[in-house]
Amino acid sequence: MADRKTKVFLVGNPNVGKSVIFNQLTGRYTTIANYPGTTITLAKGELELPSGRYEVIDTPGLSLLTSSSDEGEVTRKLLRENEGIVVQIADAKNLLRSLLLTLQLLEGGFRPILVINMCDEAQKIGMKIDAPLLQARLGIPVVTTVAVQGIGMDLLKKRIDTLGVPSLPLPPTRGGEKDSKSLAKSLLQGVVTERQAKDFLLEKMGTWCSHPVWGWFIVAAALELLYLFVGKLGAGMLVDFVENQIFGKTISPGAIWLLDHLLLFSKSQGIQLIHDAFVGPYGLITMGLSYGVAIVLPIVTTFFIAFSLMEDSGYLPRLAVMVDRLFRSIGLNGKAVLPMVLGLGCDTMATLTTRILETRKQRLITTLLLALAVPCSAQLGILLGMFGRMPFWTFGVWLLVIVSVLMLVGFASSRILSGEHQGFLMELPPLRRPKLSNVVKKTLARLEWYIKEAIPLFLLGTFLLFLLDAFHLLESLQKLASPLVVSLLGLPAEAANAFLIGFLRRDYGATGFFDMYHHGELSQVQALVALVVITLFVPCVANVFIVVKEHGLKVALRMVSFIFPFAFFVGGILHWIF
Amino acid sequence: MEAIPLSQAKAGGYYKIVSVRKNGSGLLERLAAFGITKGDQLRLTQKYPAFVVKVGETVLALDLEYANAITVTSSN
Repeated sequence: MADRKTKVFLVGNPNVGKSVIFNQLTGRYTTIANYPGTTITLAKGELELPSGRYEVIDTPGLSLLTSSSDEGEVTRKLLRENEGIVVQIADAKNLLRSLLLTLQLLEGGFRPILVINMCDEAQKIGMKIDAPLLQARLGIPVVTTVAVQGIGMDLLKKRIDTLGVPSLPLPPTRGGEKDSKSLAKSLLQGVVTERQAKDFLLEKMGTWCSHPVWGWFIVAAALELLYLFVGKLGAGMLVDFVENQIFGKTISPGAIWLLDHLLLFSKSQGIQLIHDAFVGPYGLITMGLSYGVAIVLPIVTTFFIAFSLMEDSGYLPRLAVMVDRLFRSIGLNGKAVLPMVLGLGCDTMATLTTRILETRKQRLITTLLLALAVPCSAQLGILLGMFGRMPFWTFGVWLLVIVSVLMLVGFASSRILSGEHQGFLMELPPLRRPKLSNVVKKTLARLEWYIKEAIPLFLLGTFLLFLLDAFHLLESLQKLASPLVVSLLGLPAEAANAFLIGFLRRDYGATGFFDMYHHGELSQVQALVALVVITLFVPCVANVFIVVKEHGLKVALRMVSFIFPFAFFVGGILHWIF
Repeated sequence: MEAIPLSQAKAGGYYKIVSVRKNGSGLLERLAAFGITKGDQLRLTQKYPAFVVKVGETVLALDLEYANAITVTSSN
């Protein structure tokens, strides 16, 4: 009996604060977001109460138990196969919608605890909710909460504690839609009273964000702010600090000193090899770790913060409205803007986020475009730094090429791949002041993912490079690649080295060209060609791995075998033009 | 007033949903998930770059294809 933990299932619409409540109950972070599909895996955590231990399970946001979506399937299966306590979380401002789900749960034989969350926002627009009345009418416990402030959490825990016998799942009976709706409406009569007090400014701002004219100004402003925050603060100041002060002055020399003293007592080749594997020119610490932690981590952190701000404020769905028509031509709809923008931060994470897209075709197209033409923040930082030192027209050409490639390849793949266009339907949550606690939690959750998933892959990539160098394969590969690099792209032979490294380490590739340009080894045109190719080049190790995970090895191989020659092809054309 | 597709409605106007054409994209089900069914009142707040409607407290954005599939009549 000591091992058996009673399960607590958190169900509810997307956007109601399930993940926040999960965090409050279990102390664990999950990816907290406002759109369906972002609770990707079932998060599980523990809750300890006087009556015993509970296992809290966060389900994907779903609207109706009977819906045919993946989320509906997962949750139905979960509830059918497991005994447990069902806690339904509802948005105070949208009680009617949530009540439909409550009624379905009741019909299915469950006795949920209904949590009415985000009461502060309801209050702001003048809504009052009579929870005891609703509780009496429904016959189930009703708790009001403001989860982000921890209000109502103790009462919720008490209710879970004293619920007693967990509900026995029964097969759900079919109820008419119309009937449920009127039933729900009558249940809410007198429970919800509204005044018309509204936050006019925020509502106005929300309208501007999706306005056909002003909306674009706001997009431009958002991009500019993004550039300043991630580019200047992240890529500039933070990277400088971590790379030079922390790694350059302390960690790298420290590691080198340590290993020098530990290992150089012997002149044997084997020991020498081990030494170099860690602190040599392709060392795990000197190169691998410093890349992952000193360069990418600060940049990606600032990006995640900026993205979380856009997410929490409710701006992202409005951005989706602005670009929906544009995206139509590449076989996607406005929703795809979410992974695409996230891709500017980290393509690997963005590829995971493509799960929110409804059809496989959309997911494939977006994955391909991310891998091909969306430069991640680490790369972008170096690229922009380089373009800052070259005449403006080079940046213009680069931008033009990248966007054209995006549109062209997107258009072509939408024709080639089978599948219909998926209509665009998205909720626009009210524009709100982002809550610091939310932003912090979302950023930390993403960072945790990054540290666990991406950094090990950077280490792996560095190790592979080390092996290539140790076995003198690097030089032979360079020789092999020469004809491609020299005749097709018009670059000096040494450029092949940068491409090679760029395969495993995106930023090093770009940095390699930066050095060459700096030392006058590349003309402006040559630098432009090199930068275009390295941008379109195959995705980094972590990205390829994720594509394999999400779509299988065959798809990943097909994508890489298209991207690789295509990048050189475009570079070749540029060389020919200029 | 006779029933017209939402795509032909005037921005800023109040309308009542008469019917939703069943098509492959499952519009009916997706609307139901937001608690929106036939007979509901909505306000069409904009048509470009996408349609935006307000039903109760819920604000939804949808494209031309979906706007064509929803039939409404004027309600005042």
